[in-house]
Amino acid sequence: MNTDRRTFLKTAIAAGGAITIAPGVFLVAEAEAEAKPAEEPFSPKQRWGLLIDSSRCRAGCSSCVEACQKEQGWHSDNLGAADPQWIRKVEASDPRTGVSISLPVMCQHCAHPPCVDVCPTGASFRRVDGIVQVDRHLCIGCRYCMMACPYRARSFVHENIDDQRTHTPRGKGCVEACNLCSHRVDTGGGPACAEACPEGAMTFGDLNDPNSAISQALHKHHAVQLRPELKLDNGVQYLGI
Amino acid sequence: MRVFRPFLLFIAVAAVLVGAGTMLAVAETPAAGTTLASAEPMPTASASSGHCIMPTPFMRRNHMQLLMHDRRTEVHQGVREQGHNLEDCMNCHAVRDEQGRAVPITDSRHFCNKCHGSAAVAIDCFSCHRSTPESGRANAEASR
Amino acid sequence: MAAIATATLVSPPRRLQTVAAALAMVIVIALASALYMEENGHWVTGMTNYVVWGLPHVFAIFLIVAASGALNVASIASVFGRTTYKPLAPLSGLLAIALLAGGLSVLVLDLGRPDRLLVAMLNQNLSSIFAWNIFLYSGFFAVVGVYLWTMLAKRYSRFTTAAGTAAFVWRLVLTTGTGSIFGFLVARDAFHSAIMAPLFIAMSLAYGLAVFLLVLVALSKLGGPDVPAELIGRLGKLLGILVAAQLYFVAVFHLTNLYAAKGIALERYLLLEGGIYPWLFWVGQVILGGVLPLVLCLGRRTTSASLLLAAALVVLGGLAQVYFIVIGGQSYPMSVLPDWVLHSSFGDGEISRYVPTLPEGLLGLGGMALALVLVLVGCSVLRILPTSLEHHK
Repeated sequence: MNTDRRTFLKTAIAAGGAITIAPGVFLVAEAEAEAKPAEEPFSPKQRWGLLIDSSRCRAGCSSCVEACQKEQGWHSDNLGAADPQWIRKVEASDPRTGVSISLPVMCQHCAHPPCVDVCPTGASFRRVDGIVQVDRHLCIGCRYCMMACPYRARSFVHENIDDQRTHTPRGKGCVEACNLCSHRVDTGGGPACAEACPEGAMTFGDLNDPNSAISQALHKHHAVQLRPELKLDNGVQYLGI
Repeated sequence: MRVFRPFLLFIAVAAVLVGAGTMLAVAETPAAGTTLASAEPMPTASASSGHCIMPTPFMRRNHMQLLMHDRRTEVHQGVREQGHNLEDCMNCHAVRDEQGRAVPITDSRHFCNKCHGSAAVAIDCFSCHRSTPESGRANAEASR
Repeated sequence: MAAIATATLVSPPRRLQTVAAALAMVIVIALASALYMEENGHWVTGMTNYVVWGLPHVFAIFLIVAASGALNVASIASVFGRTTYKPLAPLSGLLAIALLAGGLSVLVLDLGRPDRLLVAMLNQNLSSIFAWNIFLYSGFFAVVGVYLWTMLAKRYSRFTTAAGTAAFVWRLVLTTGTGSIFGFLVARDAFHSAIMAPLFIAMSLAYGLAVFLLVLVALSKLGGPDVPAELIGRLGKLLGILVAAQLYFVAVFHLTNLYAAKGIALERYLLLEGGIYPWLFWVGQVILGGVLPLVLCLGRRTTSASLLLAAALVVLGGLAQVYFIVIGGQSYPMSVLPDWVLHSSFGDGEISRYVPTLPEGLLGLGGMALALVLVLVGCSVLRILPTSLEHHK
């Protein structure tokens, strides 16, 4: 295929990079990254990441959460704390200054993920392109990864399920979490949450490509990682905290 | 030891009861409503291209190896090869009921159950994977 | 020395059967509970996405930790050469195997996919402490099994010291592994500490000896040898020392947290304000499971009854302690933005509630019953018990 498509995508990347207007303001370049052909393995040259500008994230808005539910097929079954939640909106306020912010929190796709370290069967694994996900074929449901995750990003399926999305197998007794919509990433797209954000506050892209919009933005602004003291080198980073 | 014999007997009976209970509960695959003779899986009318990715005799013997291989490359290496995932199997081999809805794995008419029921080989795929084409989703929801 | 006369357990009529039938009943109920949990999913338990390990893990960890400690008496006999305890060494080994089997059964039956146990055996992630533990637990069965063999088959008795030493080292490593399941969790301040490993070893020594004492006396009522008061007295004194050691590690753990500004909020929660958890700590673990047994075991006047009461209290306090560590630690809020006040639909910034349900409790009790049944079966078919304990003062 694909030379034509690649050239096109590269142009798109350049364009995406160019329309960075002011600090903290840049346009989302959805298909900016050099997509791989669907039938080839992904490349270890890439490291997928997500940059979330919390200064543009509106309190009370949950478009990203709803988009994720629709795309990945998870929902509440009125089980309270036993309901799955792949992505959640956190409202945070600093008691010393009164500053309050809003931010979506999901799997942070660490370079050194504690969940992968502790998983006894290797079901939790990190793809060479940086996406951390669960291989449900190997998951025995011990929940040790949930004990280890500093972000409480993972859910255990507590109930029977029969309405899965085709591209997102889910089942009782396994652990699950955000996989950056790997089924979309593998065919040239990006995560549903970033696409759905009405404020364009979420930028998906290749952290290893210096020309990608996400790398450009990270170059200009000081982004922070959640719980940086753990030195996990997160793929998901935040502006405005 | 003689004193102990009734106790062993009790354990044995308890074990048999528990075993039987477990088997009843775990038997998620419904018993096949078909005899062995009629158990030949035939691609249904919904198959658009009209043929499988490999000849039927090959698929009968080797579908599990193909699925096993592709699940590894897809989940771990992101290889999304057209026609080689369970989604495509389900799209082509969907069995429709009288209302034209694709039947799920809990139905003995489901394509996989035609052999797996009579061969008594439990399949674990559909404890997570969807067993019907996703277009059937709207039908299922409408009927609720 | 003269050979020790041993025999299989021959119980007064009906007594053994009654006890065994009752235990088997508990096991059957536990299996039914596990089936119920697996069929419906874990929402029928008190466990959630916030408190992911619950009552089954409390029982399992108690049993696994006690298993390692149940080997105390055998170690004293074979490794440290105290021949007084030699007649009791086989029971010590059997009890260790039985407790571990009971604990692991509970752990496995609580898995989301217990049917995939084979997957866990065939796919091992070598950086996982859990994977190491699978190896350590299987190895423990093998090592203690061989050790038991050298004790029961008299012609291999010259290997007893070597096998006993191997078992002694193995169980220290094993409990280090169990403690590190928690100690290595970098994300959670309530767990992440190197002291978890030695703390768990100290816990194992105390729990294991307490269980051993209780089982030994219970067996004497079921046709086992009478236990001389002097033997109970000596084991009771040892129990007192082990309980003191255990309290020492607990004190160091909490003092270390209290000394640092960042640890004060956690300790305030665990020791003062955290609802049921401070009660479990002060009343369950410290007073009932610590101070009271210390007084009973190391006081001037000790009787067999008071020492057995102390052993029972150590078991109860131990269950409280494991509950406090495992569930109390999880209930403390883990913040993605430390020092910020958080709200979300996923319980961020809130204390996680855990209310156990009946099935998970029954599953845990089943593990205990399984361990005891295995001891009864072992004593009934093997010559585990000495015919008398009086001759070996």
